[in-house]
Amino acid sequence: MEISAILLPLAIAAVFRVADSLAVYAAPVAMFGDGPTEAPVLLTQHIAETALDRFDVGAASAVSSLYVVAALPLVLLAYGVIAGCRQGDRSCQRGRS
Amino acid sequence: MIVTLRRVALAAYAVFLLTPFYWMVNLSFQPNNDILKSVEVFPHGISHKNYLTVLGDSVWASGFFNGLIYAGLSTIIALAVALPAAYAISRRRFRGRQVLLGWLLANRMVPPVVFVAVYFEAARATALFDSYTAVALAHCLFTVPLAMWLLRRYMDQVSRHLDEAALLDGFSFSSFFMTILLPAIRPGVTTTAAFCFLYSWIEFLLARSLTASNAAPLTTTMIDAANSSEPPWGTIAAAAVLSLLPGLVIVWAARHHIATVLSFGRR
Repeated sequence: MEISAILLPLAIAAVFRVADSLAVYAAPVAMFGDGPTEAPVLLTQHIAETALDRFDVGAASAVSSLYVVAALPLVLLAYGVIAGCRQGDRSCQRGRS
Repeated sequence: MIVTLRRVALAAYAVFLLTPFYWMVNLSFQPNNDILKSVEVFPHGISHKNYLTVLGDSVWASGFFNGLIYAGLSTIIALAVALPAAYAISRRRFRGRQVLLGWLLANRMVPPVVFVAVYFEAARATALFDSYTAVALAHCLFTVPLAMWLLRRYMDQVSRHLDEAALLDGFSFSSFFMTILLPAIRPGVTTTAAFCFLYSWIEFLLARSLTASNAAPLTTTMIDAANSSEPPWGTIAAAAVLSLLPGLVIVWAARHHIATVLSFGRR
């Protein structure tokens, strides 16, 4: 009946899935070690390698900051979906309890 | 017809999901020579040797217990911080409340790897590197927000009139909190603790990068073993099977509340 009663849980699931996939680190490390060609596969690996293996904490922090900026829209979206929709939206209220 | 199709699809999906777990158990019962010699769907005879290695060898066993120690510490810290904070957020309407909630959520949505450089420097500067405290505090990055979001939802379900009635009846605030509010939300607190523990238990990157040898988690031992020149695959598989146990216990105990937790307390 209410479309948002279906869409909202889906949106929450999607947002959290995207957040988790941005954070993926263990799987490629477990599969390839430091990378199939000694080059990192993901940005997460690049950050970890720069900070922990080459001790270039400054460069790692710079890349980290850019990654946070890139993830910010997702944060705002998540906040809108989870917290913002409580106010005034009756379909959200219904989905809530 | 449709019901049959649905069952077939669900069964296929279950097989797809469970195959890696089966393979892990399968490998864990085979000696390393058998694993390297040929691919066996069933182990030839059950060998407990891999499990005995994991539990008996000090490096493997300490990895397992180290993980349990930080997960426990991190859960305790998270609950100690988040219970009062969740009460404030649930009961008071202060300036910046929504911003604070958004900020907490941001900590959950941003990949933990972006904090690795910071935690690494901080741990070295405070001489906490390779200690349980360093990892437990680092894990608070996600356990505290999770606990605050969940506990706040559970506290929202307790009527505010209960607070007022208790204070009118002469309870001090602390005795109200400990003897009335906490028992009222006890299932919520238990679930929150269980999930903080679980998230800390499965965390890999921070635990690995903030430790060297004394406090290294099981995952580090497993990865190092897998990257060695003669990987002991059977032992690694046995360690993986053992590392599932805390998760299985906790998910079983919290099975009625899992949906609430995964959507951050939103139902």
